[in-house]
Amino acid sequence: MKRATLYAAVAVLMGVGLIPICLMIASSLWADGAVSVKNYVEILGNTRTWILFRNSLVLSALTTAAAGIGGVMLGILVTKTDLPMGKTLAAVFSLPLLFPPYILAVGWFQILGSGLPFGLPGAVLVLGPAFLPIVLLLTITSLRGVNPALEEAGRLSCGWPGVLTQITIPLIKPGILLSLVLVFLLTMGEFGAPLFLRLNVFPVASFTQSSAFYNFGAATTAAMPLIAVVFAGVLLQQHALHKRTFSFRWGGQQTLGRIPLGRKTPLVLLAVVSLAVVTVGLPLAGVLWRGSSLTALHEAFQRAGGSAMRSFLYAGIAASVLSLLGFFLGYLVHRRALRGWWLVDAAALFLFTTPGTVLAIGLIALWNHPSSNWVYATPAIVIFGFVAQYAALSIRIFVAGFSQTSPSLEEAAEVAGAGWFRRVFGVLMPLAKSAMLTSWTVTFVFCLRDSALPLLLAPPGADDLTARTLTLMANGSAELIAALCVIAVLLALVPLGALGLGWRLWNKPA
Amino acid sequence: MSALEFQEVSKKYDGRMALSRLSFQIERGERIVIHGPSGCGKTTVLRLLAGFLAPDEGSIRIEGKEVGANGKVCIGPESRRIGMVFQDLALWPHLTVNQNLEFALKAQGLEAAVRKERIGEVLARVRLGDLGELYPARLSGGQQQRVAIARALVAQPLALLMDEPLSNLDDDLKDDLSSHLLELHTRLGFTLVYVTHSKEEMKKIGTRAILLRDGKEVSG
Repeated sequence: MKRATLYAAVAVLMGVGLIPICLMIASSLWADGAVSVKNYVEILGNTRTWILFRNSLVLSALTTAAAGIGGVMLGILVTKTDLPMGKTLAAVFSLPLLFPPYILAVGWFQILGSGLPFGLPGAVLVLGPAFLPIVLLLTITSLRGVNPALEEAGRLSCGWPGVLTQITIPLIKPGILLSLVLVFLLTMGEFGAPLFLRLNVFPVASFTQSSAFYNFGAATTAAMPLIAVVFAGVLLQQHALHKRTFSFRWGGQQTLGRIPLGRKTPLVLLAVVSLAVVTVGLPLAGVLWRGSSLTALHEAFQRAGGSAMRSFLYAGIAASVLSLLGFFLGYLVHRRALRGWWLVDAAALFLFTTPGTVLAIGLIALWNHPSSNWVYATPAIVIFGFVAQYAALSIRIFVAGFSQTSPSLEEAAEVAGAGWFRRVFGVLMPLAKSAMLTSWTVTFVFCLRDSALPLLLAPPGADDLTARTLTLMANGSAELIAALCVIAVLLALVPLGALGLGWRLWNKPA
Repeated sequence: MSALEFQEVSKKYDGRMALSRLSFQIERGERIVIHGPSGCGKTTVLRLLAGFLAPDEGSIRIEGKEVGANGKVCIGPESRRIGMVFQDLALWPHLTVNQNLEFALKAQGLEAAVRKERIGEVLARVRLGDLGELYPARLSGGQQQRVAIARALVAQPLALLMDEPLSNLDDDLKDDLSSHLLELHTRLGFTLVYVTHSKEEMKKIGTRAILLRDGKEVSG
């Protein structure tokens, strides 16, 4: 029963994500009724392909550099030093992870107007802070995982700078590398912000081909370089981790005293707060300033109230499916319960970093048939997209959750005669309730902020808020767009706040 | 002048008293064992000596120099000339055995040739002469233990602190390593502060013991 359940979970991941991608790859190798590389010859021979590729690569490289330098430095500052308000500052820098990156672009536009640097500089200005939280959070979690004795052993011979550069940073290198690969790949697939900032990159071209010209053949072939880059990135990550899986940790032990900043404290604090204000505070203030008037909010609710509700509904359903799927796949990966467990982990990471536009085109190619209209013509296809895209997050969270409980707890139930499902519902799920809530919350937020999948997949009349906002950007007023962004921010923050409060009350000691 | 000295040292963790007005002196070349049950403050003594913690009250002296007093670390761990073997050894997994040893010597600013010679000498002393290029994960438990001792000794410290270094080993290996440690001590003459909860280790290694209970010294 256990193997059957785990195989079923793998089958779901393959069905919603890998099969569509494989189908895309196969169809790209099919031309004029035969296997052919004609599509590739055409696309690789086209100068425009290389311009798009260069744009995407340059944007990804610059964004990765900005997010990498900022994220690692901030991660070290808030975790290893006695900088005041470290947790608050980390939370502020992490805020952009809750919203679609185009919200920061809209915010900057509200502040700078036509002075906003469009194109590459603007995209880096927006996407750097938008993806910085990935590097920041993975740096923090990696630092918390370092055995303090390793640093103490170093401190006996040299000061903190030497320990950080020769011991700590090399030890957290896999976490940093993973975060950089993720940022690079997510930027390659980012769609909303480059669209708003008029930067022609691969995902925008794929979207235009499929959505504006209904040319799925061209869109599919145009997606292939992206798939190749994602594949290379996942291989690099797997190589760096040597078939281990990187898991998020919470509540890590830090017994070593923090690095005293001494007299530099006010200066460092001022620099970090200024950076937070400039990269996060200003654009969000810009959105709030223009979008929180009653008139603008009223119009936004009138034109997109239904879409906001659907956003909430789609994200809620997808997060629930993802938490259940992540539970079983996380178990599989953590316990290495099936041969090839690391392939499941790698496949999920591959799907996570595959651009939404590419995944959407694959899903359309698979389900756009008269016999499968029950998926294609309903919001189910959006849910499928979300599940494929974000399974990796759920898996990693459950891996972290399972690593905090001893396998002997399940073994004790097994010895006592409990069958697989009794162990799942009676032992494993209650033990993983924190991971379950975290998984639901994180995947809910990611589904809520996704723009490419709903824009390409939502059936007519069933779009969500991000798709609606991107559509209205073409002809909506600046106030309306800002108000839609305010609603998107509230849509993420209100349920998160409620969940956090509920969790605190539930766990409050009697 | 004593090699190491605690004067009325107290230390609290989250309001709980870990050490209470503890005083002792350790002479140069002595082998002291700090013994007591779990949670009695043994490791805290070592962490205070190493400079990872500051005493809340009282003062700590090394070779007569005040290194920590009344809530302050006056001299940081890197300047105390202390070697330490951690309970979990804390060998840097991303560095080879040679690089683990070289770390401390580089910080002293020694030239490459001198470093190489010193590492060769110490590795030979702990009978690991040909394993310098291996990473710690490739070594057996006993070999890792020897690398940890070699790393602690390579910078020629004034005192060697050992935090239950043999607790994770089997009996045969414990015997072998504790004998080897005594042999090294006889040859090199360093001051040894050895923390253990094992009476056997206390008897074998120490020339004197400090017995701790609830953060206070008790008479044996």
